[in-house]
Amino acid sequence: MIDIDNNGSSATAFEFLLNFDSSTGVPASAPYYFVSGSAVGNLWLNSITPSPPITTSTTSTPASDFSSTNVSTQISEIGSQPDAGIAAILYYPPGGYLYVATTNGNLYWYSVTWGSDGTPSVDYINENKTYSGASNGQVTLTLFQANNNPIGSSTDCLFLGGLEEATGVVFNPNSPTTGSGTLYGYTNAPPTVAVCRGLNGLYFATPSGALHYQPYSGFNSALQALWSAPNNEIILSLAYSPNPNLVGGTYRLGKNVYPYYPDGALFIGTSPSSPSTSTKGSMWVCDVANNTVGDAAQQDASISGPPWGIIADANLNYLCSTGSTGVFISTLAAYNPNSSLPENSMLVPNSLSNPSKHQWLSDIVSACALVFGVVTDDPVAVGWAVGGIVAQSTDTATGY
Amino acid sequence: MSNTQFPYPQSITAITIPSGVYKNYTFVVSAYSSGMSVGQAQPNTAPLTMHSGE
Repeated sequence: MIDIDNNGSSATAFEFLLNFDSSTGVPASAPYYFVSGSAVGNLWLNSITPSPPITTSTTSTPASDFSSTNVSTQISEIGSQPDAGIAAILYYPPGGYLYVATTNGNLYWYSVTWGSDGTPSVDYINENKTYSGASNGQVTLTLFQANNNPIGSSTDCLFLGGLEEATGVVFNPNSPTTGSGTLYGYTNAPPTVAVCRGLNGLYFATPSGALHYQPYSGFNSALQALWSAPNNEIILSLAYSPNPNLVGGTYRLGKNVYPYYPDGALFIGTSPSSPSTSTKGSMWVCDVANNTVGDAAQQDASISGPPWGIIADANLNYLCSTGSTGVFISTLAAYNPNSSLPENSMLVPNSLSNPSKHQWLSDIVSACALVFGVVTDDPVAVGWAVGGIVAQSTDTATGY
Repeated sequence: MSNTQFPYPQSITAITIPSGVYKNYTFVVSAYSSGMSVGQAQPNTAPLTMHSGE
């Protein structure tokens, strides 16, 4: 396992592909499959097989460290490859579709079926080439739930962003079409570079570093930008954490006397324009209850690398992909000083000794309180308390 | 003003397993310039209490 892509190209987007039990709604047992996309349009099926834990009455620990042996890459190449770099992948279990968006604005969809042995089969169905990816946008896929539907129907909707034609276009994910979708947002306006759904509306960022908000109740073109990144910085990524457990706040006498982010927080990753590997990233936080971004950055040029991608969990934790420099973790949750979980840290610093390929594959951490949902960018409303952190040794033998 | 070096906002994803043997395990996949990183986080079996006062 050297490069994820046999062509030596960059891996660009990931999505878990899990076989959900129809009665319980939870994914089947391991291995856990995921799809990766590359900058030249390849799609690969991969899997993770964890080491089974050894469980006693009081403890449960993995039988062995997580390493390259737990990951199988390039199990199969998904047929009929897209014609441009893979910008976004979204699995839609209700319809059994895997959606793939490319940097040129095309949308592809595949059927996902599950064999009796639990392995997925992904087959090309069709594509929509109606729209064009904006040159300075980032093509995105975002799923809206039925009751948050900007097109006014009772179905879920799939939002394709980063286009030249409009802020985005909406499709019905249950019945993909090769024809036109519903244009949404500003037309002939700066494209989106990031899109995120919040509690009551959609957030999107423009290339100039402006954050816009539109309520699900309807698009209002008269609304002004919510916020602009200071110092001419640009916005690279957005992520929403709903905070159902109200973990942010100040605790006194066992009570949260000053809960904050009661409707969740929107994380806004920024960097100077033309980011490079030496760029220092920043993170800003929008309080969704009043759509106000704090006066100070949560991370002020303290992230080692540009925050290319953020995912937030349900409990105000976030992970940030900084491209070549690694993965950054941080939290807004009330920090327990007894925890060995870092409050803000480069969780997995990448080795730059050989910039042509990844030099490690290892545990990120163990005992980390993260709760991510089954759909990318969809934190789930469950929670459990912060634990400690036990970093495992790096697998130096593995190069990706 | 361009984001041309690595313009892929979905370069990281994660899943927390809600039930079964790997309940509360989180798996993370993240991109690097020509590959990916895969990580595992598992719950502390003796978790501290977060809401424990000051």
